[in-house]
Amino acid sequence: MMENRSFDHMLGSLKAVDARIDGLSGNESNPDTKGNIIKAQPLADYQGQLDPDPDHDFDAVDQQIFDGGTTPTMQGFIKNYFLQRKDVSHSQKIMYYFPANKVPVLTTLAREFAVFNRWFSSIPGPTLCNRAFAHYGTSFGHVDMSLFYVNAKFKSVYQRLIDANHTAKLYYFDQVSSSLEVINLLKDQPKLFGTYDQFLEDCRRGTLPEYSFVEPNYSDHDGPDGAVIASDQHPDHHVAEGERFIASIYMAIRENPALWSSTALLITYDEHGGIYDHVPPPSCMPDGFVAQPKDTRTGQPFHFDRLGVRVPAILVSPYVAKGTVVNGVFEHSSIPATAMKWLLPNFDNTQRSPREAAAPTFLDLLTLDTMRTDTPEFS
Amino acid sequence: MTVIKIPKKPTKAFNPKRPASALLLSQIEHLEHAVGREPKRIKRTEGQAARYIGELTAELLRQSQTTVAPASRVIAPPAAPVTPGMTPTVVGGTKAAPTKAHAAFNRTLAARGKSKRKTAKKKTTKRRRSR
Repeated sequence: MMENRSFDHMLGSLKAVDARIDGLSGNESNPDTKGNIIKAQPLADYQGQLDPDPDHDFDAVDQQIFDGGTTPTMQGFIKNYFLQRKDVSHSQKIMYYFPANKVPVLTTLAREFAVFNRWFSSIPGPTLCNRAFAHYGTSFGHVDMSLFYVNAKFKSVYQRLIDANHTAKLYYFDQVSSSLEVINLLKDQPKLFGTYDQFLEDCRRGTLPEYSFVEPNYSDHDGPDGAVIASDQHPDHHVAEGERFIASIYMAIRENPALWSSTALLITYDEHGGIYDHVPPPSCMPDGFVAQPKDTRTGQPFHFDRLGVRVPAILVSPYVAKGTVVNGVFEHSSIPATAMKWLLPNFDNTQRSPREAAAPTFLDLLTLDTMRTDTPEFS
Repeated sequence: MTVIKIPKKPTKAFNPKRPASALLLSQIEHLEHAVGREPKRIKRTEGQAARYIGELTAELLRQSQTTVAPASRVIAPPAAPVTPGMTPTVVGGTKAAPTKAHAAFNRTLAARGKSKRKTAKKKTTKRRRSR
């Protein structure tokens, strides 16, 4: 799971080469604070344009989606980004997206395997509460970055699988990058964790667990072999390093024939990071919690009954037909839901969130009877 | 078969001196809470934050070797699911401010030197009365 990029920002250019992909036609726009209409443009750069980090707290995303109204128009992105630097010209960069050739790893995988047109972040808010949905199927009522797992009502997907004698692991990049949101598990069940190097080794040896979650590197830091560059793609980290990271995960699986034939890889992003997307988020199954106005900072409670902004999501497997475009609505609860449907299909639904219990799963996208032999390689 | 060239390593992008993001600061807050360390809300560069995260992670893994119950289990009431007509209390917090849970944990830490059991008992009693 990568960090903070919207669907249109990373994959919007693909509409020009495949009209089935719900990207950008060139007519999408937002007004700036002076009333000028600013179109989305393929001018995104790897680094330097999104500094400061665009706001993506709940109230900021509310403005981005609703622009002060009650209809999700997706017209408030520039106005919201303007608030941070008060620079009209700079605020327009929130509309920039990558031309396909600038992010060849992600765009190639999207076209070669299955790309989701409607994969949304779980909450119109920041990182940790969104990532919580990938681990727990809920954020336990949180819409912010606070500790969400204190006295958590539902077990993580890892705990559920381990309790049922399945195998599961979270791979963080290294000890200095560490794990982002499941610190409680890191303390209580350190055996659930591994590093990126161990992931590569497990791929080589064919010893990956049945279910793995891989985290990118969240910081520029010194490693034993010199400079280690952040690969999470969180603004203002260099997007190309994230491309290299995604390619390395793909190739590590692909280079072990037995693993390649038995593994499905989902690549997605936790949330949009405040960056423009043109598709209004839909309503969804409430997860049974309510966030209070003091936490949403919008003056309104939030019932977890609508999704956050759309993010890239790609399913990779040699059993996925080339050029699959998925139009159903998905969000991060679909991750634990799919793992459970596959490994624990009779799991008691009262032991997981209503959102997760209702979430669509995606293994039915593995439609081919025989493995493809035309899948791409990265050199 | 399509062969795609992976982008070159952007070595010039390395900048551990940029200010640590809110994400890294939140990660530090969570790790400090987990290891039971007083939160140090100071300005850090990304490199400094990373080093501290590494230090906290090492400490956390050291602690996990022991059989001591995790401190986070003695604090904060559970966030209950909603039943019709009822609004639950949500344990809240923001990036900039300490979470309620973290603050409560800090109070527990401060009281530990005096009388840990008494403090815990008082809190339980108070919570029950307020319901």
